[in-house]
Amino acid sequence: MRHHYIDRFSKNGSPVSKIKPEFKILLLLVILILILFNKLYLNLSLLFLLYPTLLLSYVPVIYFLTRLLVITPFIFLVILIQYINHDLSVINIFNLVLRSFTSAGYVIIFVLTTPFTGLMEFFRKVKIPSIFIHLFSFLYRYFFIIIEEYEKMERAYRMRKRRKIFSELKILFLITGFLLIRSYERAERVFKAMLMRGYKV
Amino acid sequence: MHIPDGFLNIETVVVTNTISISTLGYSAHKIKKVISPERIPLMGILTAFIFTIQLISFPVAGGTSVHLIGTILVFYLTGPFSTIIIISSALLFQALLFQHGGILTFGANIFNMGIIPVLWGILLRRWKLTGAVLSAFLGSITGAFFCGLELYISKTISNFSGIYMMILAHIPEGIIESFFTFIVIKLIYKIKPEICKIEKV
Repeated sequence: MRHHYIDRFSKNGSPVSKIKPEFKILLLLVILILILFNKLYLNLSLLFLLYPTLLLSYVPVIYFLTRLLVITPFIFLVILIQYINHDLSVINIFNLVLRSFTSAGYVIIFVLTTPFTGLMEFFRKVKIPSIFIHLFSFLYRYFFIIIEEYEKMERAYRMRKRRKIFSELKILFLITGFLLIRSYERAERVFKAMLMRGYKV
Repeated sequence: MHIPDGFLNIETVVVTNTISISTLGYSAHKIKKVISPERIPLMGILTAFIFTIQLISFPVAGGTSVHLIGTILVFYLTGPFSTIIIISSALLFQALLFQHGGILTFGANIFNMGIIPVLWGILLRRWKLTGAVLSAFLGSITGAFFCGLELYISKTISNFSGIYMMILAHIPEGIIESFFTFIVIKLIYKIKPEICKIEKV
């Protein structure tokens, strides 16, 4: 079984990981708002600052770049639409890539170096409704349950014979439905155990 | 359909966040009255489930792939207000942890993938399973329309016909989404109907 640690660089001792989570989140919001103003010199300066920030976070460059690639399908979709419309401007696409990659870059660095508990603490401090705090902490807990169940079912699915796309999709969706049912049963057990240990809603 | 940061202009960001955060606040206020310990594992597992299924891509023809949204499924299991809260929690964490979507585009993404399908769900729920299938399809298509419109207003796509292309690109997603919703809701109604905990507000 593989474990997916989503805040794996939060305790790597880097200067960025030592910054208080609330300060980091506020700084991130300021950076994202500055990028929103769409001033080329500002966005270029923020892009150049991204590299020293990455070095100070001790997040491996290759890992950072692979995470950054997640947003490329949406960029390609926009490029395709503009190309079909005969309205593809290199400057506009450069601007778009600059804005989106810089924003995503800062989010990746700041989130990877912040412990999940730090994020929760921030949400509590800004007084977002308690239902969200419950759901966020359950999401973190149950995400691993779902991934474990998914890996088991995916292994079983790979052993089966391939069929036509329609029946293939039907099987995939039935598996997804069973995944939900199985995860719900496990989650109920986990929650009952939590209530026994004194957890309050 | 997850719009990353950097794709929308400041006006669109302000308007979509105002609409979505107000809807979220209202939903949280409504849910607060009916929240009970039995609902927590369901809402928690559904948040984690939506978080996970939106990250898994299904291959369709031509080497492209689509991912599920799951809003209508959640709507039929919990009700409108819980759905808005569950979808937004999943979207926020996708943006934070996997850069699937953005932080400042959070409002636009909730609007396209949460509020719009839920409105279709409310409108068509009297037709039960047929209503679920229809609202899953229409929710995806209308969500894609608003996604295109937001990009057009932000001048990311410069031609209005880009919106039609956005809709066209999401038709396979709409078909797959409605098929998925049909299979999973039918499975749950048959095997584990006690999962359905529609809010009474």
